[in-house]
Amino acid sequence: MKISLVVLALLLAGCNETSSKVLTYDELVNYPSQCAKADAQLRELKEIQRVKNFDQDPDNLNPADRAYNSRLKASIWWYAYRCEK
Amino acid sequence: MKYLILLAMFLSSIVLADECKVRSASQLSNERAVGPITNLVKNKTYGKCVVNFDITVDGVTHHLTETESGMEQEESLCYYARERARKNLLLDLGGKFSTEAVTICKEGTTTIQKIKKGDHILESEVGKSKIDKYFTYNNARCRMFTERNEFKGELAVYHGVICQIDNSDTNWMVVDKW
Repeated sequence: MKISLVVLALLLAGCNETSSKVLTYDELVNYPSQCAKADAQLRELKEIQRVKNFDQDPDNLNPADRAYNSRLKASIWWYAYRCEK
Repeated sequence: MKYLILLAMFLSSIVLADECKVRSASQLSNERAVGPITNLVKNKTYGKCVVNFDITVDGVTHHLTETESGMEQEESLCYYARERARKNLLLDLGGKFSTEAVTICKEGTTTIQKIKKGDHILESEVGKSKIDKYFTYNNARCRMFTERNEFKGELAVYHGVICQIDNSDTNWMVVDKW
């Protein structure tokens, strides 16, 4: 009975996690940004940002992380200046 | 006599502690009648965009060509090319220089600090970005910026977003930097 409860708890915890895929740098470069899909795409990009949890100071990042973080932030801000209503 | 010495020491400490510096920056402000972009032709290839278009400034039509290449989407590259061509034309045409300055006093030694997220700055303290349009974010007027700074003995390029605080001409906040 105890084991069943543990398994059930683990399953429920798994269901609550968002299944967002962390994009590679190249996938990020070719990300199909669209204003019409802004809400969903921003959710996805911000989830990647949450998972990556980069340091706010770019000087504390290694070159690869710095490039990824730069690309990710540029992609996120794209919606702010391109999708104004 | 003792009191005089104490008073003199107190006054000198105030003068030494409150070191002030003037932060000022100049920028070209164009007061020209700039018309819309017409006859725009975009030639997009992988990682590159060449734009050709006409633009009328103060009643004179100019034909501009500009190329932008990079890792970004071609449509973004076309946008940058268009903006750079327009900006370069306006720079070539000239205008009036305006200077804004604030005096900042703080304790201790004054060293040039890198601008970081959350800092309050003058708008002209940070350079223009390729994306030089203003946009609204959280009901504030914002723009992107680009700055170059030394990092570990090399030149590093930083990007970010600043937003205006309370409609002040001089107070802007760094809301993001990368």
